[in-house]
Amino acid sequence: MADAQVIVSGVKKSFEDNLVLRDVSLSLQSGDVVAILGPSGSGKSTFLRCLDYLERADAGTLQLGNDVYDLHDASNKQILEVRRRTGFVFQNYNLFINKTALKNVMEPLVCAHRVPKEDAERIAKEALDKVGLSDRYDYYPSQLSGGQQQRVSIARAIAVKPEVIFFDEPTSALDPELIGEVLSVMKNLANQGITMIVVTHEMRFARNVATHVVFMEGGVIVEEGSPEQIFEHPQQSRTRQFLQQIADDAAIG
Amino acid sequence: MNALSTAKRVAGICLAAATVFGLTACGAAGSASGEQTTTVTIGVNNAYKPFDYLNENGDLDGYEIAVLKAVDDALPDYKFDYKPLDFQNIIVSLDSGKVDVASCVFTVNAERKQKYNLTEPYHLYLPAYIYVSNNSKASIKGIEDLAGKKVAATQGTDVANTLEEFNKKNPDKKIDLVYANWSGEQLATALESGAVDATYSDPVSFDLGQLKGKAKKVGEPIQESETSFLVGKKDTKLAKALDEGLKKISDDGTLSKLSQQYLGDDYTKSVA
Amino acid sequence: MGDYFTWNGFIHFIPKIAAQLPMTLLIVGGSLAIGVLLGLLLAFVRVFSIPVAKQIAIVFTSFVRGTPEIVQVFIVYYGLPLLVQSITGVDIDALSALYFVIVAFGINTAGYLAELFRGALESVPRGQYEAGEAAGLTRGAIFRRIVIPQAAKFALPGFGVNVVYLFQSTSMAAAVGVMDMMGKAANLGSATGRLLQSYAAAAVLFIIISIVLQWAFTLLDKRVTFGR
Repeated sequence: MADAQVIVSGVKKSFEDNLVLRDVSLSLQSGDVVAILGPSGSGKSTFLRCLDYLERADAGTLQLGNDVYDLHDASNKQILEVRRRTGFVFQNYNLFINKTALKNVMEPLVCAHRVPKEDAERIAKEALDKVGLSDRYDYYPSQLSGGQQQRVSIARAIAVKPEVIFFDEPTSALDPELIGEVLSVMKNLANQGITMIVVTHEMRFARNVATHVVFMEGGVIVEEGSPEQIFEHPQQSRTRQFLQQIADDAAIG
Repeated sequence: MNALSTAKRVAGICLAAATVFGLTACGAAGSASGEQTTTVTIGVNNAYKPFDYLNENGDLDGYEIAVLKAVDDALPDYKFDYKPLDFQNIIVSLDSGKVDVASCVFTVNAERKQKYNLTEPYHLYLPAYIYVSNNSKASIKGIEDLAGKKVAATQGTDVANTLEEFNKKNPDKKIDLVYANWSGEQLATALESGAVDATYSDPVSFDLGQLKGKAKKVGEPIQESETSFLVGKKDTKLAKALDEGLKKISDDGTLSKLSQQYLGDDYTKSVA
Repeated sequence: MGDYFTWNGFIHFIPKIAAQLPMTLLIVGGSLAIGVLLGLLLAFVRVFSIPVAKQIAIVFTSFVRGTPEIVQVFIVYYGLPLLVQSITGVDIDALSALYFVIVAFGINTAGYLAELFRGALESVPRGQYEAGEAAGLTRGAIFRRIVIPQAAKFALPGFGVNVVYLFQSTSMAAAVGVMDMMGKAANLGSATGRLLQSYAAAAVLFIIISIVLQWAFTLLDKRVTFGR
């Protein structure tokens, strides 16, 4: 299962009259870490959400392994299938407020994957250990810091052993001092060969951890390539502009 | 989540219990037996002493109840089922078909004769008298003597209507009718202090009320009201059966006896 | 006070009225069951904007909240048999008045609970739904396991108010002849001529019930706090 490829093809999406995604395609090998960069409004979050049917695309397909799913026209069964084969980490963590950390991680296992409770508990504990929260099993989200909540959220995603994990700006809502712990967990995941698509503003992560960088603007992929290619030798002027902007901001800060 | 499922469970049990209770109550009510007895539902007042009321133990008691029970005994083909109701619900229940008969000291008048079947013989003849304070010096013997005097009255009663009629016919000798929601206490006080000169009542209500010992009746009865049970206009068969039953207990003296027992005197014959 | 009120009589009345507590509980329990189920249904219809059903729900809720409850009791008590008779020809007048009372109170409670539940459901952050969806949970599972328990926290205070109110409004049941606690109090009062005494006794019982309810809801509230 973890050897499967992920191929996204021709995703289009409009909100009312606003064409947000023009035609976006992406291809990953197992173990790839794709960082998607771009200014706000570029459609990168929308793109990611379309892959998990959190937004309904107007057109496009998603291929997981040998199975192709229509991103516009899919049955409930297919939607559930895609969601059970993938993981999603939200900007706002979205942990289940009424459940402890352990129960949060167990929930998809028990409820969506029909794993027996004892096994689910064991797996969940392992996942929480992996993200460094072995001493927080029985804490409620309200009792955890933002960084801790996001790590639980990552544990929840990896526990079901998904073929790919989608990260939607995972550190954007965190206080600066908490960003590091989350990025470090994500780096570990990358090193373990987990396939990830990460929408992010964290340039250093994109540069050092990603295997593939994509720059989006105005609903299209402007340029993509290895981190070295994008950061050292950007071909498109828009890419250069964007990177320059980021560098300027960093200089001020 | 535990709280919700507990609450749901409790609610479920309550609903089940209510259903069981309702069904058994329904079953009990609908158990007209294998013989040809017809069940008749009678709506009765639940708080009108001494005619129809629920006593302390929650049992129906009173003169009209006793009369109905006697009629029930006299009619082997019928079985009476009693529904104690608030006063305002009795007529509505009869009109909407929730009950077959209504019992609430209903006086006989033209309007009711048109709308319903009234049972006969009438089981109650209540004379209305004028009552004055025990220490009153006025010599009042009849309606004419009330001219110019203050009389405590209740809106809508037959006697009040009679006095209004008198006033219409005698505009120069008007009776001053003081309408209010008079309670027994208030009447007694008003009579004693002279705030009003007289009021009216019947001997039965008088005996039970606050006026007893503080007021006295004077003169002859100013009018007499007959009382009947109300039956739906279309229910002629039932009305006839009730009439038969009433005639039976009237003829064999049961009616008079009940009147003596519950009302203190025989009010089953006209004295007008 | 004299004739109106004696302490002895007052104490004496309390167990007599309390004897009707099961009946009162039955009314409250049955009404609550109907109210919660129907209220949830109406709330869902509103939250999910189901066409036609949503309009019906809005009209229904406005009517129930805008008319006096005693009027609704009478409409159900007198009107329902007529309605049922005209549609199915079955005469349900013989049914115990208790049935009608529970239906009337249930409908009324549903109207208030619907608004309460709707507000509570809408207070649950959208992200909770999305996290459940992304994890591959079915709609039903998301509602049962995640949304409703959280909505319960928002709904609980208002719900408690409605329960207490239900207890008070059982006094209307006596108007159609159901002998619950208030009905018994009225009966005793008029049968013995001691209205103040019997209603005071009933009041004491209701105060006790309120205290018990308050304690119960405080406990419930703790259960849905989830560490906050």
